Amino acid sequence: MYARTVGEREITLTVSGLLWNRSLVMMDSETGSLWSHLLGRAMDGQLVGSELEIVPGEMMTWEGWLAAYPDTTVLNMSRTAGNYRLEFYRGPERFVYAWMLAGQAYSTNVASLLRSPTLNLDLMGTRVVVTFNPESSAAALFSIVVGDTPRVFLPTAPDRMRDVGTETLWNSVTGVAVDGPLEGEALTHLPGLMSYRASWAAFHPDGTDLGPADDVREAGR
Amino acid sequence: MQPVRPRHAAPYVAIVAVCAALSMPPAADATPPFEPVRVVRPFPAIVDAPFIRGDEVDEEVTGKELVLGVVVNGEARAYPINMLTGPSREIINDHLGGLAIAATW
Repeated sequence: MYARTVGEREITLTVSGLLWNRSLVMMDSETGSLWSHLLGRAMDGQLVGSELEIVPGEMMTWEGWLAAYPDTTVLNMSRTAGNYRLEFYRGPERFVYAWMLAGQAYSTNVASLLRSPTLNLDLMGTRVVVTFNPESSAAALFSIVVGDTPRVFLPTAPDRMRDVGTETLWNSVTGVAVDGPLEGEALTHLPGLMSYRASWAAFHPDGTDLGPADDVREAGR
Repeated sequence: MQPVRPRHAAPYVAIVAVCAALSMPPAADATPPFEPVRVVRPFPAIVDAPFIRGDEVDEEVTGKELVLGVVVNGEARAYPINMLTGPSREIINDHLGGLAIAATW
């Protein structure tokens, strides 16, 4: 998911029909420049070197998304496939939730997220939490500094967690505090994605795999 | 389960599809030279795609189907992945919350 602007200029992206590095090459209608879908970068043409800003997107079931965002709209076109359903995640150990932070690749196995659906992490001084809702397969990464204070979260329901310091109840899909002293506060979403474990590892052999033993609470904080 | 788009070689498909859709460039130093090859014809841009309100959904999308969701400036929109599959559908040019976005799969 990208913002399709270059400087102040809006561009329109099309499927070029080309493939590079096993990945879609996009073309903009305005200049004909070719863009790597994977990198979000213009690789050839007038806009070469320009980069598209990432807009954090999330993948989950429709019912999970609708519950989290009741005012949502939804694309209404004919289906071109039918297999992208919750069952896509059968065999959770084959999947990771993964992200980049300060140039470093991190991942955590979906099987371990099923067992402990909040993972509080201190990544070189950056405090984040990974959340997972097994009912909708929604995974999210949040910065957990609220005001000046990092919070530590424990799961209480598939789409709820509470922070240990104030006992505030939070929606773990949207990152919004829904009840308690911090009600109305919102955690900042960070970009992350679901990937096959083997694929992520192939692209990021030096990546760090994290699990419950790395949770800040488990680490004796 | 075989969630592999036919034109891609297998082990890369998830990272390519999900990465591109959700957004995360791999390390730049792993990038080979830009030498694209044609695999299908070009497709026209999708603009002005039709949307409906979530509370109006009947059979258009079912509860267990996966969607790509995004929130911009408080406006939420979902793109069912079963509607984004195939080369004619991989890029939706859209506006949301005042921002021009491309939903990609």
